[in-house]
Amino acid sequence: MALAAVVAMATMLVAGCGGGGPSDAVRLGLFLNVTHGPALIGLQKEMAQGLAGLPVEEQVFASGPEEVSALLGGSLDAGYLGPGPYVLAESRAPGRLRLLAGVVTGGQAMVARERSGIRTVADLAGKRVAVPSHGNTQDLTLRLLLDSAGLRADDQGGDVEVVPVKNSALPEALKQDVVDAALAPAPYGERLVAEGVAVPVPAIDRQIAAWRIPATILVATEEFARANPEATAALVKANAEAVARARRDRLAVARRFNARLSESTGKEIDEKVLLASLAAMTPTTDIAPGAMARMVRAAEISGYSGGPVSPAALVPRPG
Amino acid sequence: MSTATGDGAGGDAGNRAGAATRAARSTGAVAMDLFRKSWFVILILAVWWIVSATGLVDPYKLPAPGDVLSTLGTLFTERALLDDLGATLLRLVEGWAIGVVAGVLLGILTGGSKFLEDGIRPVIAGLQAVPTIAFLPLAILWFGFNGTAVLAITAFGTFKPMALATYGAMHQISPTLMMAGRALGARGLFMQRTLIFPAIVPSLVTGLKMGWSFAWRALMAAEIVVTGAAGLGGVLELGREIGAIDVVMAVILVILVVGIVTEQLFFTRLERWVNQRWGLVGAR
Repeated sequence: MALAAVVAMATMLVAGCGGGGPSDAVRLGLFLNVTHGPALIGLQKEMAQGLAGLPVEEQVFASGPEEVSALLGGSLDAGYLGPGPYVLAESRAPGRLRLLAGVVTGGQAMVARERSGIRTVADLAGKRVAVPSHGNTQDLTLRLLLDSAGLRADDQGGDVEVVPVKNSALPEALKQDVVDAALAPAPYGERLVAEGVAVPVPAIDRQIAAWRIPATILVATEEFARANPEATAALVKANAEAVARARRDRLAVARRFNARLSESTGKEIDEKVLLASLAAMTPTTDIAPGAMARMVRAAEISGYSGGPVSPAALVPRPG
Repeated sequence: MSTATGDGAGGDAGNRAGAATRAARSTGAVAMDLFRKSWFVILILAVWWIVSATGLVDPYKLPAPGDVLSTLGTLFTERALLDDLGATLLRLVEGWAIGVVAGVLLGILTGGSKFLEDGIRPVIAGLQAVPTIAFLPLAILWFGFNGTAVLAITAFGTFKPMALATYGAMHQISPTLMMAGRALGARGLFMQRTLIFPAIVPSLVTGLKMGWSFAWRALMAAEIVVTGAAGLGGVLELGREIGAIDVVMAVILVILVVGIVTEQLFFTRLERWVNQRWGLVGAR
């Protein structure tokens, strides 16, 4: 009986690793973040009619690591996510994902408690800084910032405490002095400022902006891209159109985001806050040279990297 | 039997042979006992090793046993896993102890008073159906986003099964025993100390074990969310977030070993001692 159970478990694992032929749908992952605006409006128009005859099935995720697990686990074909989780996935499961295109650059902001005294990266010494989760784009960007000032995170023997705090819990974490500052994805940083919970830290924001780190990229599983080249090309094209539309019409992105937020939570974010967030990011399919390599460096600094990442994996490969 | 009356050399040889046979039997028995207790673990390890060595499963999904052990070593030497283990165990013992004391007290009170039983017991029984982790948002609001909230959740996770186990034990006391006690003049605290408490102790041990496992579940779930506090749950969540399944499996291994050690070194001995102390061994 026990032997049968062990064999059954092993069989299930093996069965779960089956190869794939042409798909009957494109299972697309995304977050309900304003940095995923092009995906949100794209699904309303460019992808609504399907991609090369395949319907698009949308799945919403709360974080990049969850979405990467779904992609590598075979329950998702393509997805919008941050470069941090993509780089970590490449370091642990090389060649399983394919970088298709950029989506949005920018879209993260450092905010701090007013009396924290944080004005520059050097001021983060001895402070507690919130990021949405370990290994996500904000966490890796923070590691780069610290490295640039000769500082280190607590898990690397330094004195800057990196505290994972969900975006929704940030106001309480800052009010209760659980953290001194937060590197937050849009629109949460701008929202904290608008609500008077935190103040911006422009010097750090300028430093991050100079690196032109993407907030969102589009990836597919290598298996899906190989088995469905037409659908993959259609996805890349639809993404480019949605990105161009998002660049032209910020208001459409803000309203679509609020509509989706209202559907799932019954709440909306002040349109002015959303527009301020959108003004601080650039919808673009381009990925700045060196931006992805910086993420690889951050993964190495943090000790999260599982191994070397091929330079070829850092360049978009739409076809 | 010649040893009693036979010559000395023959007797010594017989004794040595007997001792050797007994030693061989004893070694065989020990080996057999070891095999009985470990064959399933060996089987799992063998299947795990075969599946990973043959490449049937993506290493990202199932790292090899050697890789997990190597990661475990790295976690202990480079990422201070011992500190996390210590923090978790301390929180576990504290939370469990608080939950046990509160649960036993409430169980005795509800088991001894019809008024309290009618009012409180249905609520506790109903709460048993609510996952303890559902109270974490409240605990974070009340105690903060820190280890205290995790401790509160662990204590609450222990409290519910402990209160119900104590209440159940109170109701299993033989009415004849109670009548005999009363007839002999036992009353109040004297009755609690000399009759009721000894009668419920064997059942309480089951409650303690159940409370321990519930405390573990609540603790891990809370530590995964409140990642600012040191602990194994935080390391587990870190492994999940950075896609390091070897880290996840290494932490699971640590929890499993702690579970086995606790069971063998504490609960099994406690159970044996209680059964001997209150005469249940002879009754079996």
